[in-house]
Amino acid sequence: MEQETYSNIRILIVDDELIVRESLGNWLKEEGYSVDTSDNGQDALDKIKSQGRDLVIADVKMPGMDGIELLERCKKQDPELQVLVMTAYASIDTAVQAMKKGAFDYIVKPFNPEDVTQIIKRALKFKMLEQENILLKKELEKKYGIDEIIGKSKKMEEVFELIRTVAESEAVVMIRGESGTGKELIARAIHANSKRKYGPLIALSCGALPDTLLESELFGYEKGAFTGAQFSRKGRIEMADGGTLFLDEIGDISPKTQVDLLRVLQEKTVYHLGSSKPTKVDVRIISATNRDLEKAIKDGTFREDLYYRLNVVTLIVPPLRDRKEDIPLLANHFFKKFVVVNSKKITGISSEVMDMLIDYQWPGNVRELENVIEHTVVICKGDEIIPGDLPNTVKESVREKAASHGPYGPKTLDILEKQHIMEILDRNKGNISKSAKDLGIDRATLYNKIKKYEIEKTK
Amino acid sequence: MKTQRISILPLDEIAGPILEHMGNALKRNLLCSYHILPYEDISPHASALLHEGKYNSTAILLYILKKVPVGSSKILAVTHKDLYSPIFSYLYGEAQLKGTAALMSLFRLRPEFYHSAENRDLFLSRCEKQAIHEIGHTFGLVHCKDKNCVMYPSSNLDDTDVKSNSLCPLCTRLVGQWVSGSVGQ
Repeated sequence: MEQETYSNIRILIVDDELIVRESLGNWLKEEGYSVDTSDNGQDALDKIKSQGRDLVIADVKMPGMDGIELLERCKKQDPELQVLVMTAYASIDTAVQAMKKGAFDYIVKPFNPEDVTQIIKRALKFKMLEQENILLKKELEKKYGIDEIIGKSKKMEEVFELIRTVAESEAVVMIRGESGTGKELIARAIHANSKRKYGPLIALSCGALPDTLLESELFGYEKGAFTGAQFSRKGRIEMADGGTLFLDEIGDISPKTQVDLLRVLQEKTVYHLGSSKPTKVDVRIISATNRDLEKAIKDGTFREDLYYRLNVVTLIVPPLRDRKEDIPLLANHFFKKFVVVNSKKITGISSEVMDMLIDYQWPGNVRELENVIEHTVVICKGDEIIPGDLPNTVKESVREKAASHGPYGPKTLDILEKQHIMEILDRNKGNISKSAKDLGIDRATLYNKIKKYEIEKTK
Repeated sequence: MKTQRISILPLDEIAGPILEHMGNALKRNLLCSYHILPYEDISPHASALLHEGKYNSTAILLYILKKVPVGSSKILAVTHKDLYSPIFSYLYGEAQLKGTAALMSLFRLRPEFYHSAENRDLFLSRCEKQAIHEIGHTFGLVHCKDKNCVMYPSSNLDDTDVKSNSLCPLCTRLVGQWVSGSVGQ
């Protein structure tokens, strides 16, 4: 049984005076911290290097290496290490020097115990938050890194290469691609691999909002700017300061918002609605669209100047049907994900289903594939996913294609005619009159063809 | 299990009822007996122990170690004077962690120190909490995270006034183990 303490927090006291080391050490031990001491800077550096520490409390005046030099060398060795500097003399110059070199705070001996308790707690809390922040950023980096985008096709390899290249630059990027191809994932990968990665990534789907709401979301507003604006609020552009702003469905914004956005891109300033005061912003803009912007320019619905501002680098995401070799990889990835999510004991996707998935045209792209795999996993009652588990859209589309082309390539006209007649009869539940009408032939001709092709009538 | 005896050593002329109040609180919380030693005049050593009217807490701790009577395992010195240490401008008390000696000052426990009206009950309550807290350290207890436990750290008297005058169940068990010898001393 152990008392709940701070014993996992390791503090190093560095002072050439034994009495200070002992007094402060004992007091911190009473607080429950793990404490050890050094009587000189070099010994302290050695201890930090070999075992690490959470906090160093160092005296400024020491023979040999003084506290300021020790602080500098500690920070060089471990930038995340928190250092508190203490001295017997209240010198503003020393305090300023220590803070400039990265000390968390500066305390003057003799201390007020209340102040020291609070400073130490703050320093440790700050370190904990900093570590937590770094951890979360790393998780995000991992989650949105290039490795998380699945694909081994040549087309996707080209996309990955371009992501790496543009991520290193500050270029404004436009991502083009059909709906569901993963444009936002690519924007996040660019951000995660850029030097802005520790800044915010703010995403906004322009098409999802009415024009007036989009304006206030983008640019922010002042109190009283419009009915209901009870408080001033920052817009997404300002929120993305120091980071990246991802504007999806950019082709859907109104001419007025286009003008305002163009001004942000040109002047790097933003004006809140209801204010004439500019605010400087440092934002990288990545936009995306599935619209034909070139046609929109010709039609006069999209500004040409904005188009060129946004389209410095174009990154085209290929539709899934153009990279069929990625389908098994993606299907298996989503399969594994949904098997875990739904706690299912399914071993895999049958080869027949995989062939059907490869054959399907995927108008909704990767998003549709993900939904289909989720559907099959939920529906599946056996050991592996079988064709019957697929949603009707996929089954019907593949069947139609097979009917027209067959699994082994093009067929003769006779075979195609037979398959077409069978399908129409099937759809009309064997009704000859209706089927003949649908086929554009008379009943007698249809009977002759049924006889010729030896088609069994559907009951 | 041998009952621990704690000696209370007044370093000034302190009213008996105050010392008894503290002794009873120690007895209640730490399952020990106590006895009050006669007032020890340390003025002959004042030059070493006293500075600008404040006692050097670390030096006093070393001094009183020599004053532990036979039959007592721990000693708590009590003074009216304010305390300082080589690093702190003032202290409510100081103790040897897992050791023998503890020291506490009544100086900052009086409401009058903060220009409030005299309040004997509040003062006595602070005295007993401070006594248990400092002697608690000599039993190996470090600061507790339970805000109600008397071992919760007091960075100011508001903290002291909020916490209770007893150990939390966990600290009580730790003291029990310490006294019975099942925790390494």
